[in-house]
Amino acid sequence: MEDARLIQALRTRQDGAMERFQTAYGPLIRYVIAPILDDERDREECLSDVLLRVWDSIGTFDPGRATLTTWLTHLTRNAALNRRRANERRREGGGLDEAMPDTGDGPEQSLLKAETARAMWAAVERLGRRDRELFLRKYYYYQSTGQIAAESGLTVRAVEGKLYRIRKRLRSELGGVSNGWI
Amino acid sequence: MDGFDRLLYAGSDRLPPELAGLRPPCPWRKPIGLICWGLALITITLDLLGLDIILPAVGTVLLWLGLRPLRRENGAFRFAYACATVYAVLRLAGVLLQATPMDGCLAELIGREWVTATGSVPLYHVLRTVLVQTVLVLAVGGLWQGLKGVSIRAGQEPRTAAAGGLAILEALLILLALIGLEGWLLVGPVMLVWICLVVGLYKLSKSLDRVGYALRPAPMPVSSGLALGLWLGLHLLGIGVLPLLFSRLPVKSQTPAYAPGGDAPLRAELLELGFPEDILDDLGDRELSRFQGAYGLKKEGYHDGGGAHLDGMPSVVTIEVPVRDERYGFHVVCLAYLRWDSGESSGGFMEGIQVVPDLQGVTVRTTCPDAVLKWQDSAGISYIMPLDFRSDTDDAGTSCYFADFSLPEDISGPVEGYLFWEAMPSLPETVSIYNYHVTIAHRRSAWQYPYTLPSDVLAAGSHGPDWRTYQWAFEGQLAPEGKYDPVKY
Repeated sequence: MEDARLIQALRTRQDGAMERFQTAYGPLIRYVIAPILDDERDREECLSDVLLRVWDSIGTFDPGRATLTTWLTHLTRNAALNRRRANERRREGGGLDEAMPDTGDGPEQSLLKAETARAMWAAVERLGRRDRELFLRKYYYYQSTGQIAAESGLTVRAVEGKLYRIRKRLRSELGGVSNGWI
Repeated sequence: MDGFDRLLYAGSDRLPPELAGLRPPCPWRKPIGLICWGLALITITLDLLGLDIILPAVGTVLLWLGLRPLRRENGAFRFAYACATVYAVLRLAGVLLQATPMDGCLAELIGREWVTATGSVPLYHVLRTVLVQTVLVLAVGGLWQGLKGVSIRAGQEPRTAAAGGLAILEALLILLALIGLEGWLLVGPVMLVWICLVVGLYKLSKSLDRVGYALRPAPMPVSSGLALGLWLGLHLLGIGVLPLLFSRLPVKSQTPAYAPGGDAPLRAELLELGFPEDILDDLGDRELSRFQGAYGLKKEGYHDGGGAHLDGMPSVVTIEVPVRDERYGFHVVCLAYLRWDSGESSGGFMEGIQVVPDLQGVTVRTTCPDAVLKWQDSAGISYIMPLDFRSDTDDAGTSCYFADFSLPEDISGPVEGYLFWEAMPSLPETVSIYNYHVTIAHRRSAWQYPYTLPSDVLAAGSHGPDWRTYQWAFEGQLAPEGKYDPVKY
């Protein structure tokens, strides 16, 4: 109910709506940004960027398809990743982050990657709930092993062990698809 | 990072539609969930299959595990975490103490009783409960202030009424326990409010994802599962092993033992009155001298030694001998003779005797029993062990005398107990009637939890399957010489 009022206020460009939104969701946005961007200035710029995008695109948000939190999380995560990629490209004399997908792919390569991603998500779907959550924290939200451990009540070693087993299982399930990608 | 890691990162970029509704991980959900479950399990009391120990133990560690990751957020959480640690240590100490005689010793040391609306309880138990519960209240109070702190830091209005309410309610529960108010009319609504508050606290975790989580990840020495396992293991080890170390009471034997014989004329006089010869033969001079001036005798339960009695129980013979004395004119010497056959005396771990002067009116006074055990070891050496009787009241408020002991392990032949006490007339010119109950408690299992002395079982008047009790009642009379008639009563 409170979210609905806030969305309505943003859509109708009411005074103070953005401040209220920032108070309510600023910490969540920071939480999603923090593991992806190391630099504090980058984080602040990304936060501003996300708030601007929310202001611009709140009209496209459909409460029937996702909650505001979900929508905002994806928006934030993508904005942070884009900034990280841009930083990598700008880095003078440095190579691209290995974790970042190569944006210079041809159509065939893009198709292959899309196929691999579909296979990967199908395999992730078959994981148990806890393993799936662990996978998402690591590969979708870019959280460090230490953060995952602290928030999950596990040791770093235990998290590393679990992630190793998840990788092993996914590697086995993906088989030739992953080999083709590499 | 290898090629497969690159694939996983790259693949995660293309989130499939079925996962588009995925909620972000809420770092608050797990800690707050653990805290709520912890508080719930601590408060639930199910006196069944050891759940009264297991559930609070699990609850204690869940509360601690829930506060552990929050301790870096602010000072209040750090305080709550420290309180949860102290609370866990106090609870464990309480559980372990109850497996040993220390708990009873501390209660005895403090001594006093606390009077509540439903009766009196040892002050030690009250102080222990208040201390433990106060630490819990402080932990919940710390949680409340910690949650307020993170909300304020995030520039949001604190919605921590549930945590505050819980802290206040937990403090109120201490007061209710001190007053001793019980009954569903009072406890029911309090529990209802308590459940609402815990549920409210749990729901709070869902809104807390907006206040952020500036957790500084730190390596944790043990995972939550391992901590829970270790904690429960420590409880099980303590409860399983500690009682075995205290399964027997110390046998304070003395040797050389006693010298039967002595006063031949008195012996002959007692035999003439009908004193059982086998019992008389084992009495020393000091014991025999109690019967100086005997002018009558009544015995009950005397047999030839081959009678059947309950497993682990002694056979009982009671002898009443009125004797002349200078102070009162006369008094009665009572002797309860207990005999554990060799097969029985080696099989028990703890024994207890309760002597209850019963139906006495105002004309009889009783002395504290003076008792001794006698036996021979496998080498044929005789031993004695004095039994220390203490005066106390049972749970019904009746004054009685209790003794706790363990029978010796190395024996040949029976172990015999001699309990002497005296009944003195307040009005020597009248004939008074009296009753005595001698109750014997016997524990055959080495393990028991909580640690219970036989006198506790005897005072309570009820016991579990590990215990056996046997009661012997007899009646007699206080009558001056010439009026004493052992057949009449």
